[in-house]
Amino acid sequence: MENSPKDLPDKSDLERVFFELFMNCQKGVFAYILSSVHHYADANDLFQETATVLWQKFDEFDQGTNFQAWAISIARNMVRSYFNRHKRSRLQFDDNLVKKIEDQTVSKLRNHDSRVESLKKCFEKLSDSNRQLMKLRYEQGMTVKLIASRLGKPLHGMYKYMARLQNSLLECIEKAMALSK
Amino acid sequence: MNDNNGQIVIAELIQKGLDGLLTDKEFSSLQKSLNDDPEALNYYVRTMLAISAFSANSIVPSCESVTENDPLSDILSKETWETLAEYEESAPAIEIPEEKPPKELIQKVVYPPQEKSKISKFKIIFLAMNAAAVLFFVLFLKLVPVQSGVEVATLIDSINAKWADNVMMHKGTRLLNDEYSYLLQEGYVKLEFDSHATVVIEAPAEFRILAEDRIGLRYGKVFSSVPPEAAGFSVYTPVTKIVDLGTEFGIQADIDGDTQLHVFQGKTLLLMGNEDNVEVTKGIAKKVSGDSEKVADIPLSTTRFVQKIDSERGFIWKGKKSIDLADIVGGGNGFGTGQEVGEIDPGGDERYWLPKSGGPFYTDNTYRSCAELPFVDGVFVPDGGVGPVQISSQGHMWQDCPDTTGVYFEGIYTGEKSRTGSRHGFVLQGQRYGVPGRPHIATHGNTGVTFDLGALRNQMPGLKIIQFTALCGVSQTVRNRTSGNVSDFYVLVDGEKRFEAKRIGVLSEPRQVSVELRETDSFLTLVCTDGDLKPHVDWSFYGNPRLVLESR
Repeated sequence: MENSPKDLPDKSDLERVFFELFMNCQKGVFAYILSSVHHYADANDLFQETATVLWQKFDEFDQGTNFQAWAISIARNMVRSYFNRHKRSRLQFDDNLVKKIEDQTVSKLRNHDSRVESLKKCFEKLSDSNRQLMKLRYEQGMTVKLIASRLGKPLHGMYKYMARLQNSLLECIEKAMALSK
Repeated sequence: MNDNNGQIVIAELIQKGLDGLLTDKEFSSLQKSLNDDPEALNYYVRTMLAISAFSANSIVPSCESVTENDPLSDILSKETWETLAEYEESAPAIEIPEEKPPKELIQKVVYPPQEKSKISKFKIIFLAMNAAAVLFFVLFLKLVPVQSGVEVATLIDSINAKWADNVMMHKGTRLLNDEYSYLLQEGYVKLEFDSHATVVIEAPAEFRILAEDRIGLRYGKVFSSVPPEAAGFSVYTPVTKIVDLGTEFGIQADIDGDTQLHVFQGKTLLLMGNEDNVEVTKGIAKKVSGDSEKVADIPLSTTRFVQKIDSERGFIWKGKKSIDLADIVGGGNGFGTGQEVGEIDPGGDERYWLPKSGGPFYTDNTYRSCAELPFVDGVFVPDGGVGPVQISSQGHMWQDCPDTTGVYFEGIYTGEKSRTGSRHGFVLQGQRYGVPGRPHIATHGNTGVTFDLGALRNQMPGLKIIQFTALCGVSQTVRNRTSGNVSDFYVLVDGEKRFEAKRIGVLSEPRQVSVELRETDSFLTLVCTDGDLKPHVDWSFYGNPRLVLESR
């Protein structure tokens, strides 16, 4: 369907529309990328690259259709391209597993908002020091190695600690989500 | 995988995987579990989704209070938490240090009105750039198309630099303008762009080399020094673009998107994503909010940024404008590394020890070098009665040294207490010296100490010493003992008298010392003599003795 010049939105409208759509789904897109790539720093970079490509290709998006699904399809290609680029330098799941992870992630994204709300509640119930720890890990993006070094703790123990903390938080989130239904 | 232990194992592998630290064996184990066990796969995906939910766009936890009947509380009281609590008890408190400028450097503080935050008491912000930041780069970053993958900058120095991804860089490494994000985890690096702009980057920081005249700073601190030929050099942060118009400036980008700009020389243009722009000139600092892109005035911080590094000398300079000579007497480098190491004995063979019984001590006026203190050239007891007095290791002589008794009671020291245990105190104009924030050098009559200006200059490449300042006088605490004794103060440069204050007693006003220094001056000498040939109770000192610095 061709648009006449008069029908085309001006640039600022287009930016606004893109911004709104992107804001609503960016959490899901990042979740998808992180689950597939599993490397924190790489997931961040890939997320930024994906956002750039989404904007560049925005004129190909069919308005009125599911933006998140379209965004994830773009992200899927970005992830595959990433795997090709980093064949030698990154440990990569086999194609079969990547597909399974992708399917499960997309499926679970349907109730991602509920997950986020539950996380807020559970996060607040952490002790001050554990909240600080999570902030260092996920807000400031510190590796566990750096955190352990700052705290003067052995690295192996710190990984175990973070794993237990993450696991307990996950249990809380799952229960909170169940209660909210 | 139907037990908690199995989940913890997966969780641990996930944590390692996030940091890229899985071994091949661990990775294979994880992959096998996820392929073979649907529950493990389910757990993996749920965990990754939970981690990703600490995400961009400022997720705000609610402020609901915990009630006794909170159905979530049983999760939080499981044995796991007891184990964690046990660990916590032995773990030190986690503090996220806040950077505060030293009080004496704040001349006038004008804080912007407190904006009511639209978010509740804390944010959970994921490492991923927030949507606004991403869109800034996508929509507003009007980059002139440049050929990617070209060498455009050089790493010219680094101190204790540690990079993510096992990146190895050394002096002379050339950097390309490409998509790679450099993550500096520790230490400091100095880069020179082919445009001749230089930046000093302090960890933790993440940045990209965009072109020979621009750098993208995701977070961290950068100090830019841009010569005239490189005017136009730009620093991009998630919410701003700062264009240099021939200047020195510092930029701090926080992980939550806030950006601070401090301009020390010249002027810059601060551009926001909403296309507003502000000219920011010398002595001005601005903060741009990562959420709202509002611009606010903030106090200029002259010591927030590392401005110079020199790995050969181990020199890291944060813009401090003076050297504390009391710190040097304490064995430091003038920037706070010294301690109170005791007294320097101007008359004895041992450098830092005086007989416990205290003075008076008698000696000749032989100059004694201080090999142990890197910036103290030497000490002596001034007595012109026996002839000109040597006052430096290079043989500079003080021709007009007055006649004194040649007697001293204390050595030269900093801090409140002398080695002999004397705590007579140091007070001028009602203020105590020898305490934090008010350093001093005790120079009981008759003593002299010489500082090596050349050695000080060597440790501070790019800086020059332009002045010596201090307040000299006799401690008011002398009043408890006598009111009659007086001291004479002299400041010499290469043996030439540049300041004198004579017959200063407890009833006198202290004197402000200000001596200009030239690049060719080698030795600075501080002296105190018994002004009336009575050295007893000459509790004289130089308060807040400083060498004023200036960039070359």
